[in-house]
Amino acid sequence: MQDSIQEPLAIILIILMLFLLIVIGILGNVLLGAVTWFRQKEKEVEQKSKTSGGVTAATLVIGFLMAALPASAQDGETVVESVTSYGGLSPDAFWFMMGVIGVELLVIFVMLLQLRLLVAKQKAKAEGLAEEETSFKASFKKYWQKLNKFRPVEQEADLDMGHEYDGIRELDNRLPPWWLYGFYFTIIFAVIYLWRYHVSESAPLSAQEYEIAVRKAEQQRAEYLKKAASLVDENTVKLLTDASDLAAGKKTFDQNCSPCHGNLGEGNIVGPNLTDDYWLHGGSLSDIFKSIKYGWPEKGMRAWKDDLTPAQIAQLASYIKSLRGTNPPNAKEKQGELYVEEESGGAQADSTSQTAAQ
Amino acid sequence: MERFYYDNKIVKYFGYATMLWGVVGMLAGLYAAIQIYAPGTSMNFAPTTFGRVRPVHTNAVIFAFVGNCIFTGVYYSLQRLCKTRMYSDKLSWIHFWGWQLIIVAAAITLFLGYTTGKEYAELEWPIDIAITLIWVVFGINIFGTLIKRREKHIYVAIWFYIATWVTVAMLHIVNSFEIPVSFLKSYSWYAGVQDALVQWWYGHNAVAFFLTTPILGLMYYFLPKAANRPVYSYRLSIIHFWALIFIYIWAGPHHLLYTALPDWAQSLGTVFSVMLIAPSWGGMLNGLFTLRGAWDKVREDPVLKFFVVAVTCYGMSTFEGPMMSLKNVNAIAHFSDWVIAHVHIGGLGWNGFMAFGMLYYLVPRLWGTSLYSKKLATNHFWLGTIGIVVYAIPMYWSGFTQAQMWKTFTEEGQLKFQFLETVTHIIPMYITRSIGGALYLTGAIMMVYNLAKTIKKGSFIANEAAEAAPLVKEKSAVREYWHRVIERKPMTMLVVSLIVVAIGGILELVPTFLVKSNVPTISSVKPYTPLELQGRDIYIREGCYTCHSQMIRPFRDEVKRYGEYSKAGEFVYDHPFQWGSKRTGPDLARVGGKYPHSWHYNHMLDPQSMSPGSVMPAYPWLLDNKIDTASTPAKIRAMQKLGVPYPEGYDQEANKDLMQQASQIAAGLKLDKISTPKDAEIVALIAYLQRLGTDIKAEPKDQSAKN
Repeated sequence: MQDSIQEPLAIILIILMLFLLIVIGILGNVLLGAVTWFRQKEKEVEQKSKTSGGVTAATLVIGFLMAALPASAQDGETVVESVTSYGGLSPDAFWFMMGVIGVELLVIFVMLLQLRLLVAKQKAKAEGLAEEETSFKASFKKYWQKLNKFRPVEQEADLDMGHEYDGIRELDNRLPPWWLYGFYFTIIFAVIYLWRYHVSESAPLSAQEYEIAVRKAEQQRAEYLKKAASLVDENTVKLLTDASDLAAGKKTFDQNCSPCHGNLGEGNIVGPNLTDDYWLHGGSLSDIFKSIKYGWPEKGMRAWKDDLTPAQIAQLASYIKSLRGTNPPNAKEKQGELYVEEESGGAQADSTSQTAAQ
Repeated sequence: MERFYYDNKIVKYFGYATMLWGVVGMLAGLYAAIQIYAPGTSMNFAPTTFGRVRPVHTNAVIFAFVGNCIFTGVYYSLQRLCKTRMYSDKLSWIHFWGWQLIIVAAAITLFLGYTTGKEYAELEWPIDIAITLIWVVFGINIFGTLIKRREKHIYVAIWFYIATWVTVAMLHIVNSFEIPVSFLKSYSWYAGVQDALVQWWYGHNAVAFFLTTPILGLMYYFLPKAANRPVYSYRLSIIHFWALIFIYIWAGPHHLLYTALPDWAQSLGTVFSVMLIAPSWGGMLNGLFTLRGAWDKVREDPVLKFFVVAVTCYGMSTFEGPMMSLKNVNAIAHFSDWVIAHVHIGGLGWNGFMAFGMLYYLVPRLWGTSLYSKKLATNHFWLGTIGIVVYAIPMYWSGFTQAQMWKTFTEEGQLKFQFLETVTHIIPMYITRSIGGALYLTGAIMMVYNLAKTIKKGSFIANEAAEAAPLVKEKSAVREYWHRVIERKPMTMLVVSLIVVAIGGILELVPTFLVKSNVPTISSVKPYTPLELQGRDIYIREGCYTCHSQMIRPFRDEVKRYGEYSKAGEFVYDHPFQWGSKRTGPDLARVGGKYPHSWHYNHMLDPQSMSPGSVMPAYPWLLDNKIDTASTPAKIRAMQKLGVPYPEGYDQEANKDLMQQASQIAAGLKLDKISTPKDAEIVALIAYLQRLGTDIKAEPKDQSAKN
């Protein structure tokens, strides 16, 4: 959390968010004041509850979202790491902050609009005009009426169907045109959709869609791998001794291996001790790499090749090699055969069953 | 003029029940929401684990809270719209007490783990029968009232009541077909793909005909009454009513996009969902436009405030729903929290706020007084609205985030995130969500207080006097508009509604059942062994399906994460299907063989020991409880009746096989220094989990290519 919070961009964004929040607060106050004043003068109920509620709502929402922010920003930071970052922020956190700022701007905009309307109304009143709306509101209203084919409320009597149920009357208004054409549109959409998927078969069904996606991904992957030299397998793996590699290996170990092999590799009910010289499936770097990669499913060790990259497996295997002889507490009794460390790591004490692995 | 009395007492009782179950259901929801980030709150006690609390929550809010809300509104408005007392007071009370008993029985059995494992239809067969009977009582009471009405035509609200009644009856009966194994245990009549289709035909239309159409009926009565405005458009009422009930029934398969359901059925689900936008919005527009010329009242009257937000939420979620039915959107939304956000816009916004508005309208009128505190009601309104926002935004956020994380690959072609990382990442959203829910619940409690105070200051009008002229049979001189004719004939309306809603159901269900190519056979898929069957029943009992799906969709990331995508033929012995609808935990369709027995054993005892940071609760009682072997023969016989090909007379052999398999698993655990009695429930559950998704692997290669 500290890391991402200290980024200059994060600080700027947070300050901006707080600033906008203050602006909202001030504006809300002004608006409230104006409304109260207006109301007092007018002796009529005016939008008060609406605006004040709106402000509290917005403030509260933002407050709550901000409360949730640090935690999610932290997670975003740890997991996303290398991908695109925005000034040191994870994309998640960045877009979250931008979202909050966007919402704040929107609230400010709405409040300014309200304030303008209020002032305009007041001005109109002062100039002795009839209580007409501002030009913006009037034109919107006109557009809205046209859009829905509204008839003026005053002409309602002409539309009365003459039905009456427990005091409820019914009008004979036309269907809003946009609604009706929207309905037609969805029906046409439905016909085309069914035609494309099931008659002309020009759109891929689920299984075809899957094959297309896999093919495309395979191509991309092949291209990437051609460029990337990081591809290691059990034949080419070399012992890594860099502190950073071992640290990365330890992280992978803590996340994935410790439940069955103990926090320190001491082993537990499920998995064997990884710190002694006895190995069930060979103790060379290459053997360990292989055991991690393909697993020994019948004995409970699962394959990790789909979860970890070859580079990660190499780091992990090197980390496990580094645990040798650490003698952790509660170490599990020895299992398997003695593995004698050799210079090149080429010879294997127990290689008979290696071929069994897929 | 005839003088008669409206029965307000039954309305009062249903109103009380609405408030009571509303608070109870929301509390259960809040508890479930907290359990998602604090699994320890289950206190290692079976009845309070998420898998059981969640069905209690959904059933309580749908059938107890909204159900009683519907009945409150129907019993109040139907009498007034028909200008008569209810047909029979006795039936009204049978309905009331029957429904409350069903609710209590439902809560008890669900907490105890008696469930059919089908969402929103979890109740076991004796309760299903009770529901049917009470629903018939309700129907007789409605139609009896309609027959003795003093109003020539029936109002649009009643059209919705009629359609609701007949469709819910149809859905409930068809989906509840099950074969009893014992008192409180049954198996669904249908299996796998067919069960899924029937279930979501039901599930989707429970939303349509229990949470939507009756509430629209209430809206058509209470909104114009509260606003004192005429209904905007009679024509719109007619078109949107018929279009809505006809189209809604087809849309169920949108819950099963990208699953093993045949593609044609999925496409029907999508296109009918899209066509639903306009009919749904017809209801919203008719509601909102009715308020034309009354918007000044909305600013003052909390009742109208609730109605306006309710109708707006209805509009939002009925637009969002069709969008989520588009396949490319569904690929992200399904199994994620987006769906949770979506349903709560509908549930909290539309259903909850309609119920609150209606109660604020009714109580002062029933007690002949004014509301105790308008200010408190307005505060409830704002608190509720904020609650909805604080609930929904984090859920949308977590839905998008998690779906994106699931789908992210590294350049090497590896999945970037392990499942658990995607869960721990969204926990802050879960916490925020529960705050939103708590705000909403606080509002509801404020309402109860406000209404209790109102009741105290008024005096109840048990029998409200009214007058109306009797209905005379006469031919009208001028020819009526065609729809007016149906409006005079409730029975015709009932029959026509049934036909309209039956069409979509029949055209989707029947081909899926009869056309064999819809479920291609896979020869290597075999029935469950007796031990696995017992394990599967434990899986159902503990509500595992509330967090784990068993349906791998044909997506690159899912195939990479979980294995080959699921095929229709794999589920032919699954009575009921367990595809699930939400992945709070990972998919389990192919978990078989992925971990050793000992891993499962430890994981059930203490999930965090095997998956640090997991939010799964512990299931320690599985280690102590004994497998109910006495039930095995009956279970085998029931399965045989459903067409599962166990050899004849196998029911008597089954327990022998069960014990043998259990011994093998116990022996396997022993190798890992775990000693367990071989008849412990954990053994059966392990057997089931290790079987999941493995059959297809035994299949000859060439055949798998064909399927």
